[in-house]
Amino acid sequence: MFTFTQILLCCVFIFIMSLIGWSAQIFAYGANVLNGAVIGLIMGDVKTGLTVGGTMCLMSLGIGGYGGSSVPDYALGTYVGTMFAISSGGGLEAGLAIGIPVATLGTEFDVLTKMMGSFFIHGEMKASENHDWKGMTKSVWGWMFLRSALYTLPVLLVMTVGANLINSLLASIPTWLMNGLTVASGMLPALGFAILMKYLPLKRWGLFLVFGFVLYAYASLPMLAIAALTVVIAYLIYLYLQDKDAMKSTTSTAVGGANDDE
Amino acid sequence: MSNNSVVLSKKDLDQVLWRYIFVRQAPFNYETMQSGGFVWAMHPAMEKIYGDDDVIAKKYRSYFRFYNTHPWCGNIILGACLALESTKDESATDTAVELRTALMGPLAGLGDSIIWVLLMAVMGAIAGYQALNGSIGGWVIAEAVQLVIWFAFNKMFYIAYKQGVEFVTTRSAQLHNLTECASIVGIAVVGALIASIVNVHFGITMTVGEISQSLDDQLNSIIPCFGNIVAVVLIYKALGIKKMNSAKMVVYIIIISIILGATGILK
Repeated sequence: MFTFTQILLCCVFIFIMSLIGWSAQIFAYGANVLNGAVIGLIMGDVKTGLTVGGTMCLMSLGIGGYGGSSVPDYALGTYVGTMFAISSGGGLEAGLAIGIPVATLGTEFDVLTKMMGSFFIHGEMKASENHDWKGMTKSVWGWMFLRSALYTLPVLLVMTVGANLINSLLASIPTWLMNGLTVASGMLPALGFAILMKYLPLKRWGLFLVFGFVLYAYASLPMLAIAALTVVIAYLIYLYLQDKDAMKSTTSTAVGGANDDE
Repeated sequence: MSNNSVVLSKKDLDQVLWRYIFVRQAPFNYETMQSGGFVWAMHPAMEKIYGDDDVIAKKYRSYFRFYNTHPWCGNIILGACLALESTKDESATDTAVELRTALMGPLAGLGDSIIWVLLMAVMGAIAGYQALNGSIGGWVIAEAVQLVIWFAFNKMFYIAYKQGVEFVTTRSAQLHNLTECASIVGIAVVGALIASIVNVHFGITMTVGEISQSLDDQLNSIIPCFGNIVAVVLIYKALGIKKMNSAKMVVYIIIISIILGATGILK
């Protein structure tokens, strides 16, 4: 099904991306487009890779592990989704059918590795007490490498022993289920935005939701234009807030009506 | 005392920053979250400043306490902590850990709202859309933007070390307003993204006499992207239910989508 070279390249790529994702984070923005493109390249179909990666990228907007929370792992979904979208010949639909469930399972994996972290932090603390600085290094980096290895393991499994099973599953997925998963891929971004809305100060600035919505849905402005326009407004509000702070700090001095003219 | 205080050289700082960049979230755990990587990263600097393993190990007990912030913003906190430690003042560590605890919340707020939410959503939307059209160009733009910010935050580590606590305290009021305004842009972008990226359509067709019209078209002629709004509002409300979290929500959404998709209520 998958050639040895494909399995090797995929696993190495995923291992490295997992390491980077938890350390330097230099590929954070639009990451799943890159993920899909590279897996697509390895599988020999960059275009399908971009389609699956792009869809996963849009689905994951707004979903982030803020404050140490665990969220679906759309990167893992992209890796597995892309390879089976191409190998099964089913394209985007097949990619989503396998990618979405995998991303969801990724949530549990994240919880598991963070629980695993307890063992390593205690190892590091103990090493510190014993002035065993090398042992401290082992604890920190041990977690990093173990996490990435455990992350790559399921990919290795589905590419080797699970490949035939998954392909035959994909071939036998009924149309109604495929339709349902397509609906889900359109609905899941709503979760990301709902989560964002929980984090953003909607009480005070909620009307800007309408502002952005109207500019896109009625005025059909491109996203960058909407962002730029709002930056201008936000800058004015920033100046106002700064002025207010400055006034607050100088209330002891004269509260002036000097600006009456003009 | 001040004349024998060791000031870290550029090379020492480079070393600490690079160590921190690679381990700032390891070993992530539910007890102390990111403190393990913080300690490991600062070790060469602490060794140079104090040079006594007993003293360092004692100080690390404080640094091992709970710590969690936006990883990139952590650069600033680490820089300020090292500035305090460089004074070799008796209470330096206590002050530094207190500062760290005081700053991690506001900086996480700033980092999450600007770096993780606002820019990530805008850049992700650009990268994703271009990818659907078969181009990687959008991702290249997104990556370029991210690298600029990434390097800027590395730079701030050095500034925070040089200017010390002053840098972070004088900036804190400004920081608060900046976060507030970034959130405004974030909210507007979310509004636009709800219209553009969410994709919920009703599949029901209503037949009145001989004319049959899709419910989706009718609703959209009143308010465009009507299905999107309904989906977001319902999910937003559902997130407020007790014991609900985003991980459970994903499963519910998939199940509900499959049911509604299979029955043809949504398409």
